[in-house]
Amino acid sequence: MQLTSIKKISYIQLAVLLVASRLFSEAMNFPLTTVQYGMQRFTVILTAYAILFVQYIPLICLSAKYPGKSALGIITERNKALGWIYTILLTVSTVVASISSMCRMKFYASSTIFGQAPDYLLIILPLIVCAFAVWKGIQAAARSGVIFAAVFVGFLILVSISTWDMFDAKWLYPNFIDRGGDFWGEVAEQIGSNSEIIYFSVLAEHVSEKSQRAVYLYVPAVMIILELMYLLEILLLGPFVGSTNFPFYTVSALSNIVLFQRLDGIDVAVWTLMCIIKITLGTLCTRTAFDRLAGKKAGIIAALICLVITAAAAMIFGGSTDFVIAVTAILTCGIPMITCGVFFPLIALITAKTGSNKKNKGAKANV
Amino acid sequence: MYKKGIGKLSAHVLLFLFSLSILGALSGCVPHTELNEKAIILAIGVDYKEEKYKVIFQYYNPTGIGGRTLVDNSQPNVLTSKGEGDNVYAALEDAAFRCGREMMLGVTQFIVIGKEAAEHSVEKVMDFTKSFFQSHPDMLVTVAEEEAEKVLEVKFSEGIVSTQKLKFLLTNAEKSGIVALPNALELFTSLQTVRQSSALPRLRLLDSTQSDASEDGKTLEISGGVLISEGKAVDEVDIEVMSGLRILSCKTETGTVTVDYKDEKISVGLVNIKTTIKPSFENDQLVFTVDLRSGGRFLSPPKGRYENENDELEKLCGDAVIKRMESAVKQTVFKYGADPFLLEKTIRHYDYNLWKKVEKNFGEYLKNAKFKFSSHIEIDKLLLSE
Repeated sequence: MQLTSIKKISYIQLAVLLVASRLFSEAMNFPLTTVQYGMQRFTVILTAYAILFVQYIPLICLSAKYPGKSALGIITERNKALGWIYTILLTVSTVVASISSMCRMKFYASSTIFGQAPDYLLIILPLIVCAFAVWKGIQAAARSGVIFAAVFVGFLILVSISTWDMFDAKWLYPNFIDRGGDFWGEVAEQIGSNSEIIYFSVLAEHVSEKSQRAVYLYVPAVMIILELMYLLEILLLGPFVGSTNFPFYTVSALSNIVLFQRLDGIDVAVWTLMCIIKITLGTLCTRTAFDRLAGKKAGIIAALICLVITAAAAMIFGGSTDFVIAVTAILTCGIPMITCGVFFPLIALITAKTGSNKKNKGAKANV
Repeated sequence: MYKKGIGKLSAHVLLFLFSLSILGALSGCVPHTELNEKAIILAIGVDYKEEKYKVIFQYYNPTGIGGRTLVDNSQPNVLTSKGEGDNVYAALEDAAFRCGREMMLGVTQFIVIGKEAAEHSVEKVMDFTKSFFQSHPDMLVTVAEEEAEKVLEVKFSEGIVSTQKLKFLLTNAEKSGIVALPNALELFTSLQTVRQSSALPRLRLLDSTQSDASEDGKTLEISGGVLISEGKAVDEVDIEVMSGLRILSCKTETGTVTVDYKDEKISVGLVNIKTTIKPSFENDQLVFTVDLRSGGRFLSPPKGRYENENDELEKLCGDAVIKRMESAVKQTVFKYGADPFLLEKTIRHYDYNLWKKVEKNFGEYLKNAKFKFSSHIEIDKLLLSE
């Protein structure tokens, strides 16, 4: 039974969606521990995204060799049992990512301008929007994602222009590895914040053609935006950048544009939109996976269950700092992204290769 | 295929849920606070006595408006509330509890730290802003010569000492080159550096008979500054030192200098001030080369014509500014190893290896540092020939 069709999107749209989703992690330092003042962060971002690109290689090969197919699709076609294992691991990973994002968003909004807002407004309302987006399918999510990303870029430009006169270039110094001992820890945390590799391993099948190009755009785009954001923060906040939970919020509070005396309210709105994109993408992955294995209706039901679990976890445990730290640590340790984003795509590549070899042999034998 | 029945049903369910949440959000059915139940805090004073923080805050009184004029003079438009606690946050909550309103720090523009609180720890005083991200990083921070409470309780004819009045006082001082505008963000940044140093303006409460004095015959002035080192107030400094620090912080663009020349007191306004500080290391000693370049304009035109003697006047002005900077360095860097104009940033920026060398004993290196000053002031000649 088909409730609605998940249609195709372009690789540019997918790249923009992934960028918007990834950027949400930069809304706040909490509960990440390695964001510190120093030029090292520029090198950390550069190194992390170079390594991340390497991690994408199995997926790139898969997309190039089997256009219109995803790692999940190939595994499910070849081996249903393995498909179920992949689907369950994938669902757990995306739900964990959604819970972490929702809790962090709630923490962010309630610590800043929505201190008095009831939980249901901060949690349920965005999740209803996510549910609607998941129900409408990836095409609608992609259209909204492009608008949200444009809003973010516009906001970044606006903040940069309006704080231009406050920049202090002397906070920059020419040493790009100044805390050698922490370097790889910082790189690992930066890579671990990328759940998007999991999303790509599933959503690539919704890209009309050349889905691997989404990676070519996504990885450098995120790297450049992160470098620019950090540069902006360091020029304005100096060493304060490491000790504040919400550096970009502080930066946006400093910017004044004619009648608008501070843009921190817009900042919270922008990150909320990014959070919605992140949760929507995760849930769309679950929907796609269950679509393939148990039918369209099961896909929608699984997606709704994931959103309900996210809402419940965020409502019940969202106020606990320890819970948010623990949930985020599951993601930043890298196991979910390595398992679902690298290991299973490699299996998909191998099974697809062996499958096609058998076919070829069979065809030759017939000849 | 798209099954319309189920699709419509889901759409209706979603629409219903969405409408329900919108209704809940927009109606009074959710926990909310009316404007007159909020303490919209404009200024905060923090004191420290007997190991307790005492806080006074000024908050906007909505009942003070609504008359024929925008502000109803029959009602004070600003009220105060006091509280105490083990930390500033607890004291603020206590004060909010006592006035029966909910705190809102979104428009807080001013923090006055009492002398004892500043001597105890400026960092601990400012810590509360970390729990209130709604507070603006641009709010101004000053230190009271005695208790902050007294400063915030002065009653002027327009009501209790207004935040605007305090802001104007500091803005004017900044324009005259006396102090730098001490915003919270710069203080936070300074407190993250190795020496945790800064210099905050000092407010003095005076008896006055002038027309702008308060109802109880008081007035406020900036009497100099307070040096913060290692996160707490260590000394009081005078206006000359504050002015020198402001020039050394490389952020000022205007200032004033008055020199004695041929039995005349000539005031020169400094414009486009550019200060550069370059660090170096000689004989196990930090050496800072400070170069000041500025334009100048006569504020009090000289009686005689001094076109041919311009160089001498420029040198006199330069010497006067250098004297200020020397005085600032002596009182802060040499005396306490403090770093109120962020030499750490300068060393990192120009010579990172040098920074790594001096980082551990930075305070000691600062105490024994050497400063080489030079100035190049060019007075606008057009204004000389009237």
